[in-house]
Amino acid sequence: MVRFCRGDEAAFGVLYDRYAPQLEAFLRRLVRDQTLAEDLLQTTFLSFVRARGRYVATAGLRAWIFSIAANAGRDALRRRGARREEALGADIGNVSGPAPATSDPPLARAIEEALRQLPEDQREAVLLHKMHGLSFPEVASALGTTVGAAKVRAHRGYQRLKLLLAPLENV
Amino acid sequence: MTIDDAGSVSGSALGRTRAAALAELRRQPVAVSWRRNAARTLLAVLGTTALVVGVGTYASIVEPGRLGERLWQVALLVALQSLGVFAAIAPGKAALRWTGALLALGAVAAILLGRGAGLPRAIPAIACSGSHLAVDLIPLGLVLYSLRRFSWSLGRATLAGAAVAATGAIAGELSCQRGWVHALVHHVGAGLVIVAACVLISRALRPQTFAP
Repeated sequence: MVRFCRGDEAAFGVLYDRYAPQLEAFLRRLVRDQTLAEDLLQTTFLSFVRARGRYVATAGLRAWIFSIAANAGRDALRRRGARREEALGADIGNVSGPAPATSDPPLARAIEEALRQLPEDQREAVLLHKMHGLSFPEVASALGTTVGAAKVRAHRGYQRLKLLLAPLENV
Repeated sequence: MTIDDAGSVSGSALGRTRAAALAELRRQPVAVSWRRNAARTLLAVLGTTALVVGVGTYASIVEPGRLGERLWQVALLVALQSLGVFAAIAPGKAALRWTGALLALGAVAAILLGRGAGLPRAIPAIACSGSHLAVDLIPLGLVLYSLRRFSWSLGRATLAGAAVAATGAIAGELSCQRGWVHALVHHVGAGLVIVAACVLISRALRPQTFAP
């Protein structure tokens, strides 16, 4: 990160290769729109480059860059405003990319559908913690909240996912 | 539950993003520290305050002789400007922003308690609100420019607005001798308008970066 802050392109390349695929997957699941997720990935990395002087190594780089992505995603969803709910309905089923890797494709698709039905704050917490492996302090830092609040959001998300996926247990 | 991240990404999208980010890196190879941004903004806000007081003194509107009477209030307001701008721009520092909020409340209390019954003035009371809003316009523009450099947050925008409003409040303390009711309506009220404007305008502007 120090080399990147001095403008080292090779250092940027290492960071890009490490985080870009993870961020793209996070954004795609957050906004549920492939094209928008690709735009937001670019916005995230432009922000990463422009604002690298704001980075302080308290919560770690991974939490910081996911925080940029989450902020960009939230802003895009807010600006879509009233059109959002309509867009969400249209987007369900149109998002490309693989479902969570399980040996059971219908189950994977069901998990994706259930994730889409979570409220935005719970979906962010579940995605960051469960799917991208961030610790709760990192999730809290990425979402600009406390560790306790991040845990509550994730817990509520898991409870809701459990309810949404309950019918599958009977299949 | 895991995901195969790399498999889901469009190669062309990743390539475009890398190229755009590298172009940005070449355009600005050295990172600009947030401290430099905070220092520039603070200097600009304090400089504007000095300019307002100077011009007001030249025009016989501001009475620098009143500084002795209003020393506590002016000191609190300058501290609010400094801490407010710094805490609004600094990454993290939530505790500092709460300290800034308490300082803002303390400054309002000091202004109201320091006024007492006050003295009448020939000019209409609304002139105080108008001049308060007018002198805050330049620092408001400066602060809004700085707030665009990172992702919007209510706490940061509110504190930045309070720091801006302190400019007009300092001029008010040195020029107006009316009582606390007038100060509440025409000075604190004008300050609240500035805070609201800072929050709403900064929310509406698209930030240059989404960094926290």
